[in-house]
Amino acid sequence: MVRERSRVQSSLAAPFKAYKVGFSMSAYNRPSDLPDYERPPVSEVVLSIQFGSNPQFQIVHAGLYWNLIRDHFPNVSEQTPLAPAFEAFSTPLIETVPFQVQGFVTPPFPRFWFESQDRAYILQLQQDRILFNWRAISNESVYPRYETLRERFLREVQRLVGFFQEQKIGALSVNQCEVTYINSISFGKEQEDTARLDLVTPLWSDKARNIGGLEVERTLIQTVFVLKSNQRPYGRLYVTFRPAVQTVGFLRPVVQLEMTARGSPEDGSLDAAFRLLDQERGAIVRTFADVTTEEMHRIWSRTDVVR
Amino acid sequence: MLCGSSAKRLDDDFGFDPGLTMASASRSSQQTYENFWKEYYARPRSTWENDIQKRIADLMKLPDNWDGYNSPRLREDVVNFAWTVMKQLMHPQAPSPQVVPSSGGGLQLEWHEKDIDLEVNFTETYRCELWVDDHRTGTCVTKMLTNEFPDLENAILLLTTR
Repeated sequence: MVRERSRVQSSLAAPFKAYKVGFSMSAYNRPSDLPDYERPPVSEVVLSIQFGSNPQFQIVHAGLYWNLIRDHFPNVSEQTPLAPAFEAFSTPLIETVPFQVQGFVTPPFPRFWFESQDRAYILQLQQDRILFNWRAISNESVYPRYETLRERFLREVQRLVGFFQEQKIGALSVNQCEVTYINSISFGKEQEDTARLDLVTPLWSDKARNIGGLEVERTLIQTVFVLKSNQRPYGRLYVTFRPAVQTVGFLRPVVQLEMTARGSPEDGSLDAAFRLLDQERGAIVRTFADVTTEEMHRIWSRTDVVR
Repeated sequence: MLCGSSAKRLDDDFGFDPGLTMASASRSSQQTYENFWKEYYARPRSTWENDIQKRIADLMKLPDNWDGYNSPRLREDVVNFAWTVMKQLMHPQAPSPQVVPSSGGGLQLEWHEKDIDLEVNFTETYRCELWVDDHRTGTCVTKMLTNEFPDLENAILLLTTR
């Protein structure tokens, strides 16, 4: 069971070297109008900031950077870098296969995973992106809430900006911000029925349960919402319901609800980036309430119904 | 209630990886709307795609100060942004543009055919200058574009169908 509202892991609470980066780190409070749950089914959260590629930022710097955070993230590994992502608006929406120009003139820059001792927190760094993950690593894992993760991520981004300054790498100009929530939804029964999406979301009608006498085995729903401000699009919210198998604790079928909000900030500053992250998180939480049923809200103990 | 644990996916997704660490295990080849388009545009590969990619590969080798006026080399993020936009707008049979570097690390695409002059200069991510001059109709459009591209989309459609 993922418990709620507990303290941040003590391994991450240690102080870090403060840098003057021209951005105040004011406390962020949860907006009072957001839907809330005592036991949300969150199993992973990712906050991501993509910035303009800078050839001065080289692989050797990642090692130097790790030295700064090694006390909090002692485990390191290399992963394939994530492709750059941009949200452009035209018709029709076509998934574009990213064009990876990296490697034409310089060796590819990997994506580094810097993991906390308990591996619940991961700071990911690649040449054009920094990400911060929290993930449930056991049935006893505690979801620390967005506000806590945001504060931690902000510290790490500020640390990176300071590192860039120190190493004369250049400024960090943000061009894309992304928030992803993964929810693992189960019904609390021994035998889960991943075809019963109608119990989880109003997006799926019970009529589809038995079409032409055929039995539904699995169901997948993908929806893309356009995020707008003053009638103009600034990003997209990708919502996917898919069958999955829970791999922590007992293996059991669950419905996985993945929500990714991604958009471009008003400008390249950290201030604008974190404003957008907050906005995207708000869109995710509100949409989560809209695309899940009241029955599930009761199971998760929704504590407010104000919209 | 058992909840909040990591899980392995059983079905396809939108095709991008948001940087998950535990839930990104399986990606099947099930046909989704997005995969349909991806495959549609992948067979056969368009001439313009090959032309642009080859040209960009050459341009990426340009050093700093390639123009003698201290212009930086081509910026990877700008190239990636330009590619994302063009992949969404270009039809398979669209004519190939001329691809040239622009000052400041940007990328400019140009078409001069069918009585149309079309130039789009990607100077930054989410920032490009559009210039379209249709000599048959006398229509001339100059605009700064950020993340919406209807004018560029219309110009490319005209170039493709005229």
